[in-house]
Amino acid sequence: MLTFLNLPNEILTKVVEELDISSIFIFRRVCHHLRNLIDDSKLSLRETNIEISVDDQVIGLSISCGQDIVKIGYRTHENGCVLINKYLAPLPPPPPPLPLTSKLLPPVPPKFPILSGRRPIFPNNPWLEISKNDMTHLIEGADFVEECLKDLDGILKILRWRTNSFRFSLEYNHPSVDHLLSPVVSRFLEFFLKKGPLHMNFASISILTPDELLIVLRWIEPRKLHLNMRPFPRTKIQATEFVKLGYWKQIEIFNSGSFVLTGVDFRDFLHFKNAIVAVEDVNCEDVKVLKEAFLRSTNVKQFNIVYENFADVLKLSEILGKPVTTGRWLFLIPESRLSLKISMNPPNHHCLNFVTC
Amino acid sequence: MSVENAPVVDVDEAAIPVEKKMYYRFESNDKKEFRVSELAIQQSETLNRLVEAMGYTSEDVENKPAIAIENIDGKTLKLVFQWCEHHKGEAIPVDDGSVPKIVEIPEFDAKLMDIDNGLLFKLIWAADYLNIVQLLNVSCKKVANMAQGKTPAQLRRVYLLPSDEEDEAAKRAAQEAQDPRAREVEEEFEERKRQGGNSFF
Repeated sequence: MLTFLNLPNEILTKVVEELDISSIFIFRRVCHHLRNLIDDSKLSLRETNIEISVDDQVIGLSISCGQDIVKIGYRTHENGCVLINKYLAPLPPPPPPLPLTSKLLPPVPPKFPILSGRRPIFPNNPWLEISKNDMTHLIEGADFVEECLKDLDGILKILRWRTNSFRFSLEYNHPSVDHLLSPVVSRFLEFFLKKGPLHMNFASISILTPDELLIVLRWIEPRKLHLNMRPFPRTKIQATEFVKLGYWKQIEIFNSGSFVLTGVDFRDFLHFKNAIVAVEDVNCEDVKVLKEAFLRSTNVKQFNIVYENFADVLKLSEILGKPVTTGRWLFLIPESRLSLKISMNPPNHHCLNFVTC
Repeated sequence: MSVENAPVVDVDEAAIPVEKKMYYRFESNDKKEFRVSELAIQQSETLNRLVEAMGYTSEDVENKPAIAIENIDGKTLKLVFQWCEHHKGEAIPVDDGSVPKIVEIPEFDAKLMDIDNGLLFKLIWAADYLNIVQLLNVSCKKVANMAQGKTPAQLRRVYLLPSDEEDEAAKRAAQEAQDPRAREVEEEFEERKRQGGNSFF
């Protein structure tokens, strides 16, 4: 009898090329023949966006490619890992039940029972909920992080390590639960250290420590880099760690999030179109450097500095001249119709803004 | 059954009496005969080249034996020729990779492919063998669509595939069948390992 795998490889490849992104994930789990076939095929997935959401008991992996979206939850379970394929769009009518020999989970109630004996750290995590249309199955003896990393590795190979955007977020971003999240995050970092780099247009990263951030920064190559805010206290990191990244000068949009950069030389920060940079110290000489640079080039649209210390703030008028109104300066940019606005919020706001308009 | 006694299946019956077209005769590997219009044959690059090379006249197609297609059975070939007749005259898509390919399954094709999976895989194999580009496209799309909303276990059932474990077990069984001593050696090795021995030899 002719079975699917008896078909010639060219045909199997054609079938694989017609799969939607959700089916690609399922196909990879059927058997190693199909997994190899998919990983070796030249699928044309364009404009892909990847999101990873980390909790200590469940990892959410979302991948979208145009209108085609797949959301998979990897949930820890006393007997292994529960895979949750989130229901996202109207599916074709369900097929008649098949007499399955493999072990499937019994139908799940809307809320998945807490299986590890401990309350989830973030009970409102959407990945913990399973609706009746979600598809679940148990991989016995499997580890939920390992299963997610296997899928991530597979999809990144298919994408040839290129994606439009990559988001790595912590489901509950608070220092009080870092000790719970850290083991899971570490597993991802081990993966990042071995693989990559991953090329992308936009990266949004939530991470726990500067050391972990540096591992991620060496793994990604974005054009837009957004580091997420975490509750205080903010974490300090040497600015040179960013500057020595090979792709640093290629970044157009930058947000340092809750990481405070120390030892900043602003001449290394003049290539951004848009930036929000938290720094430890700023002084009048820095403001002068930035002002002169932004008057020479209209590349920058907005450059915001969030500072902790501005030692010689009272001498700002000596550098910038008389303000138009309190804390606001306006300069015409030579050979253009644009102007540069510099504004300083009240000193207790610790914010200095440069806008070209 | 002899060729003379084989049933003749006209796939495009309505067209035969009124149109003066050439109808070629083909025979499947289970001796089923089909009459297929010249225009429908153009959907198959393989068959089109074959009939061109043969250079048959109208008399030849009636008098000479039907062209044998030895690798395809009658049930599958009937579906193939039904598809070709329905889509005769349509442009054959060229897949040069220059534009993203979007395959949609027309209603007729969906009904035609509403068959068991074994026959569907045969249809795909035949479309590839006969080089019928669009039939191959829609049938591959149909197989890909079958994966939607299924678990890996259900897919194994649908595609008649073994799991990795079953595959490994089958390989082991095949090996053991070749060398019955292999299993004994393996068991002995495991036993020595349990007893703390570092080396088998």
